[in-house]
Amino acid sequence: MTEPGSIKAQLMPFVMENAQSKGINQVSDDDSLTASGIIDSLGVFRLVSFLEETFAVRIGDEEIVNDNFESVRTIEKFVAAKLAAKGEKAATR
Amino acid sequence: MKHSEPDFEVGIIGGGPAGSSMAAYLAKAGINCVVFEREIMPRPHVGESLVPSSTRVFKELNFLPKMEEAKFPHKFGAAWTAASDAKVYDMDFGGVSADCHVDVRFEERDQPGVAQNYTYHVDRGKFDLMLLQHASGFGAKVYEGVGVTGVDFTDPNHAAVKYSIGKKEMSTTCRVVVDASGRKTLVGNQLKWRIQDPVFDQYAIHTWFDGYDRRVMAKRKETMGDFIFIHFLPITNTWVWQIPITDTVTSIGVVTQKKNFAKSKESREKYFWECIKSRPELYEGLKAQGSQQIRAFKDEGDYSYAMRQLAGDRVVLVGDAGRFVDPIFSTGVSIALNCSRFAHKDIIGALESGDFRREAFNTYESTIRRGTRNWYNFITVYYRLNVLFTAFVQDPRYRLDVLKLLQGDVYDDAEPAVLTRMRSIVTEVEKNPKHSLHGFLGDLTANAFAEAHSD
Ligand SMILES: Cc1cc2nc3c(=O)[nH]c(=O)nc-3n(C[C@H](O)[C@H](O)[C@H](O)COP(=O)(O)OP(=O)(O)OC[C@H]3O[C@@H](n4cnc5c(N)ncnc54)[C@H](O)[C@@H]3O)c2cc1C
Repeated sequence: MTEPGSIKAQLMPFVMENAQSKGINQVSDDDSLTASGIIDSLGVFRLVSFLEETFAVRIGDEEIVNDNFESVRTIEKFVAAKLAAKGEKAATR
Repeated sequence: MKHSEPDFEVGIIGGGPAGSSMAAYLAKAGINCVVFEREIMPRPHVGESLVPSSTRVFKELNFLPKMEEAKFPHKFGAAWTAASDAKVYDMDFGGVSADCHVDVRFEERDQPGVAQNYTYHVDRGKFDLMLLQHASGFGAKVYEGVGVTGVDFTDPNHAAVKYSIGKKEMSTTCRVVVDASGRKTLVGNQLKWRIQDPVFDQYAIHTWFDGYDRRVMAKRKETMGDFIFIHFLPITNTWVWQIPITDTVTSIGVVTQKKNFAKSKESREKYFWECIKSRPELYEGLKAQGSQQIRAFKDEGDYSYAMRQLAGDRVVLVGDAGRFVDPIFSTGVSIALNCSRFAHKDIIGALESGDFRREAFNTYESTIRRGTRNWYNFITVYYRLNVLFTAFVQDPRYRLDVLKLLQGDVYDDAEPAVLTRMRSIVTEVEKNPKHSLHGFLGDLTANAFAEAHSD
């Protein structure tokens, strides 16, 4: 189950929309989004803008790496870390 | 011997867009100048689609009414298309996605000093002749059918433009020489200033079709028929231009890497059709009943180079004679015209001051270098990480800034912010093999921006 409001809950509609446009109807947490073509080259840019807007984070060019964007699980982890870093920054201010 | 007055103030080699616009600017300012053109005009020429920054020149030269009278197709925008089978593109064209279709309309961005929201596609035979006649109308002297063989710079008081008429060697003296000889780069060769581009090695083959329905490739058929279309092919660095020439005539050209082109003419033509076949709708459109090829194939090669300098004592290089990169953004004619827009001021200044050293043409040299460096980098991004172009055009944060480049407004900034941004992304993707876009890099050299900057 996905918690409402969780990172994944907000991410999945974006992923599914991309998947469906490629004729894929099911995506599990560890499926490779790039190998399956769900996220193609242009999709990388869209994903980055989507994450930046949805979670109000800034993603640096050097963070756009496969380790972060490989699957739903890695994206979730990456966003969680970004949010945590942001929280810390805000707290120390 | 007493030094007589030179025959002309300015001698211009070449009567293409660079040479005739230069002659028009100078003659309009009352300067005694002459154009030497090797061919008898009109002659066919590649480079048929303009960008809006050319409008400023037409306006300054009172040439816009003639452009309208000539009924050249109005160009409201540009579109880039790719075929629908995604995988091929992801694998082979350095990162073009299936949905890479993008288009822009010039009216989306107001251009200072440009009142109309379109530019033109032109039959270069007709356009070049008209512009040359326009220059002659201002009082420029035009010698057609005169091929210049070299320039003699040895006399400190003037330069001598050399040519032969029949068997007779002749020469004409002038205070300043303008090299507008196009890719022949007459003066650049003579003075050994030419540097072949280490990165781009493209080749083109092109022809005209009558009766081809250009809308077969348009997303919005009603409004986009007269756009320029760039169709991507599933072959590395290979694309097709589709440029309207008249209501029914369309110019079609394939641009590819030189290594793809065989030596023989027959096999090159075969290659043209093989390329076209990789976009079946286009192939069927061109082969449809009612569509026919009306010109022989023509090819163009070895066209990317720079010059060590764009001016020297008593000489200025304009248009293709000064630099050529790659025609992907249809910028050549506009650059040629804008070279004259900037350079004629320095030339007039030099004639007034009597100082004809290279420094007298400094403003021109630095302005054009800035502009062409921006073009160069933009084109490099395009070939190196194509998806970036598509992504930026589709991104509302960057769209208008990219459009500004596509309109040809590249001369004001040292480097437009959007280009700096694109370049830093490419550099990051290049150096990081784990970057999600690393696999989409096109196969230019390993480091795209390590060009032989000639300055
Ligand atoms: C494949 C390809 C596609 C292109 N597509 C486009 C496009 O869509 N849009 C665009 O704007 N540009 C395009 N270009 C670029 C465009 O063709 C040139 O940038 C443009 O023609 C430059 O104008 P110019 O006056 O400098 O040179 P040219 O137009 O080449 O004119 C030079 C003139 O000098 C004359 N000449 C040469 N040598 C001598 C001599 N020794 N003596 C006397 N006369 C001489 C020639 O006969 C010629 O008339 C393309 C180029 C290529 C190669």
